[in-house]
Amino acid sequence: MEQRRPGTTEGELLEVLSGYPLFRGVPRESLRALIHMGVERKCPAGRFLFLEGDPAEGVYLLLEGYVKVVQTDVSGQEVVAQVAGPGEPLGLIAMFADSPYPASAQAVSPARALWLPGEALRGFLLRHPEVALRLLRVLAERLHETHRRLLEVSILRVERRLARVLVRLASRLGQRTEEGIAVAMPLSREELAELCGTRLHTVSRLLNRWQRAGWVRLGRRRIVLREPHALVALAEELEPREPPLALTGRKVGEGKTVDDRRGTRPGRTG
Amino acid sequence: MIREDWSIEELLARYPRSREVLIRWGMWCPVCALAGLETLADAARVYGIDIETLIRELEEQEGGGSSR
Repeated sequence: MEQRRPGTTEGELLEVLSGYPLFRGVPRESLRALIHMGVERKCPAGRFLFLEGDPAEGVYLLLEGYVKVVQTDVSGQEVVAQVAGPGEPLGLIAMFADSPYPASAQAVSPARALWLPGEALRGFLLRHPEVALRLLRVLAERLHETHRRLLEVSILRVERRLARVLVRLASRLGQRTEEGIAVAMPLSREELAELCGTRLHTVSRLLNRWQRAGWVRLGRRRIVLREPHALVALAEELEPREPPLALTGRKVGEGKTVDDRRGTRPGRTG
Repeated sequence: MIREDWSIEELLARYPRSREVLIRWGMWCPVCALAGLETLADAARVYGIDIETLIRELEEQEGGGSSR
């Protein structure tokens, strides 16, 4: 892994960090000091930023690319715990728990990160408690997502789990395009299957079905949600709400459902 | 003036009372995870609602009934 990319100036890094919600309102001098204490690292696709069990001496702030956080069981089976994109920190649990990294972080596309030594970051957080609170929020959201996934793996049908994973990825990492919401990360179908706790062939079958229905367009390690609402409705099992008579002139019960308007919903998979 | 190319999130941030109108129309947009990426026009299309009518109602809710 390379360190200190010569092409990136301190000024460029300062601009990038200033744009992250995490550092909103932090004086530029403080950010500059933090950058001085950090080390910029590049990581080619497939390589690891850190490995499970490594001593955690700092936190990575992702600047470019996407990284999956994976845990491996004794049989070698890999489980994707999280996917992170630009602006997101990695290694927080280990830093705050003062323990080795509980999982490995593998780049799924060429990635660039700013490594911040734990001591330096702790000092920075004490001087800028608003950033500490935002990091707490990041951790709380990740914990919440973990709880949701536990529930989903336990009780939800796989098609709902997959729809939820796609909607969550789109809400965090998606970009609006002419065609729909593009999940602009190089996520393989295997990785999608790992994210929703199922097998590759099940994910492929569902995605192909949704593509035939016009809900998604599958690209090479890229997915465009062409009918995001259909996926949200499936993910959350939304019941169509009836608009009041005064607004539509329709009688209650006459309102079309979302599925009616879109045609038949693609078949279910258990 | 409310615009059809605003995201739902932007609409709700600028005009929080819009939530009531969307819910009255039977729309789930205020609680949608993709509210930041879907526009008012997208939502109207999905729910089969005339965008002009919807925007007029949203503007009336804000009290001005401002002309578009």
